[in-house]
Amino acid sequence: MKIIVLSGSPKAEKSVTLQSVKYIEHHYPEHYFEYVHIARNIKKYEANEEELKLLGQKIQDSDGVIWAFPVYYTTVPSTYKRFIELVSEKCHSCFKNKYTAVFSTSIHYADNIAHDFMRATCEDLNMKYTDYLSHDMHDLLQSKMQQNLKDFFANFITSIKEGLKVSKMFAPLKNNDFTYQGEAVAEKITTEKQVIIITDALDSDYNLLEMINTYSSCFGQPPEVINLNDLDIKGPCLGCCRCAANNICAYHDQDGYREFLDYVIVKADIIIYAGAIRGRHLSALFKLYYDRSFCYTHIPFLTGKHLGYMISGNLSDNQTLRQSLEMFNRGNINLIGFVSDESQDSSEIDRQIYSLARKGVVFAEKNYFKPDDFIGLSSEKLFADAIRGSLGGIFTADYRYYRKNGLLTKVSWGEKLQGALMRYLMGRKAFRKAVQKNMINHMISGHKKVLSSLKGEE
Amino acid sequence: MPDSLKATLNATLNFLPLMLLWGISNQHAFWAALAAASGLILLNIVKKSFNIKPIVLFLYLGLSVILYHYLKIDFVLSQKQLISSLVLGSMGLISILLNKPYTMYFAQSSYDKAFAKSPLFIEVNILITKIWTAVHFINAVMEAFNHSTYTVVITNLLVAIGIASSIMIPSMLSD
Repeated sequence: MKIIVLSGSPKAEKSVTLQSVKYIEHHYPEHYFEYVHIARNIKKYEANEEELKLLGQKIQDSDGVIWAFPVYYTTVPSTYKRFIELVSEKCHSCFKNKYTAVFSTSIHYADNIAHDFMRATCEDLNMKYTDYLSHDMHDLLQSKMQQNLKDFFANFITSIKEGLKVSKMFAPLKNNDFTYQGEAVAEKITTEKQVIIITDALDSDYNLLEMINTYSSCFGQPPEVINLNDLDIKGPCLGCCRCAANNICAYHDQDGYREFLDYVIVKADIIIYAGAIRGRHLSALFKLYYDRSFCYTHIPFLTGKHLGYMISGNLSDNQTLRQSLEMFNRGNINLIGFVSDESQDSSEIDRQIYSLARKGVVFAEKNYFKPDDFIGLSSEKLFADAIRGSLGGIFTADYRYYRKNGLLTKVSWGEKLQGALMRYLMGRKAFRKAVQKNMINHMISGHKKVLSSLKGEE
Repeated sequence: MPDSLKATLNATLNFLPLMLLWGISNQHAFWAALAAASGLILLNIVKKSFNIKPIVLFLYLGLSVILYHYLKIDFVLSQKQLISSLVLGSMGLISILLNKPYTMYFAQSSYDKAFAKSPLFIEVNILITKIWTAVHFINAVMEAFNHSTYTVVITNLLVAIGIASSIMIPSMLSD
């Protein structure tokens, strides 16, 4: 069979992800593999539609397509996202009915979101999605995971041969033809807090521009708007990890990205991201903004900021995007909320935008930060484990930051002892029975003390 | 004062006879320890509470006074560490077997009456008594085979572990 591998890594032949696919190829010599390095060719595809059509023809002639990519900032690298935008727009039918499987490497941070994004994309392209495999970037070194790779591919081939099908998981994309007419807000918010709006709005993004105007009109002193299209960004994240030691990117002085990012970090108390949904995510340009912020490696560089989102498009149909954006809220990075134009009611959207502005200012002025939920806690633990381990050997800037900020703490000895003690005592029948009998009371015994102390204060 | 701290102070006070017995190196050790044990029994009578440890210590120390001062058996003084450890270890073992761990008696007064009778309280005290029983028997074995500076250091360290456990375990389970 002929398999096209759409490789998403900017490192092309030296990609970690690609090594795993090469491993599969080696073990299945009866199948023909053709590799397409998307990042290397993206400019060609952007400039020349014929090139894209040639690729489309190759895909049409193949038996199956493997999307292989490293997870960058909860989804795919920006160039891969751009490629998806291009084929969705110009070569949609080339992928129709092609069997496909998705393979990624990462440290498993938000890999589920990346795979949901890819599955939804495959469904949008009318492909026959079969399965996914998410490997740790070093899994290829383990024999168990080598077998895992072989089984993954064998299952893919079986699906093609036997015509196996899986259910669609995502509702099709809907167009939003509504035109939002915002009204300038009369009740102005005055605050000392600095608000910056980051957007990728083009002139054609009428609703988005209107949402930005409405938001700006909420303030006596209009917030600063930075359009990513106006920035000098030389290229995408190269995945070179040169930033690992000192957070100095390979592009450091060569373009305007770092200066812009550091300006936002220093100046903003509230950051509003304003973007339009393109496919299943924000634009490739927004993705580029996120990917390039990896110059700060795994450090939560927006600590102390309050983030809000104004999205043009049907956000409620696109929960993967919402989840992806929420992943950035960890540590002391606060989520204010989301506003979209999907209600198709201009006055309702006006009110939502005003609420977003008001809420952000209240949060910032009261220094109100919501504690981490599962996303934040699990992210911190995953990063802390990786940085305490081998990753921290290379990403020394991360290690220094995590150690300095107490993010490498493990379960304390006190807690471990407490756990061991309770396990021992719960192993004793009389103790266990007594605890189980009064479990509900035990669960709130400490809380009751707090409430009793309030009564004492009265 | 938190319940666990009260229990800790109680436990420390109940250790006074042994501190005197082990700390005083001459023949007055028995009298001083006996006086302390008697004081604790009186204190319990006044507080209308029951505690087995001062009674066992009183009996052991009374017998030792008779054996040493009246029957001139020097062994009870020269081997006071070994014998007292065996007495305390045996007390612990018997109290556990009877499901009435001796540590619960001096912890009881610091807690709510209903809780002090609950299986939770008894089970926690069984654990603490087990630790103390192990400490005393290990000390007895060490004394029996080798009495040296190292033995003194290790036995004292074990007692410190026992005290730390008596303080930490209830406080860890306070909620």
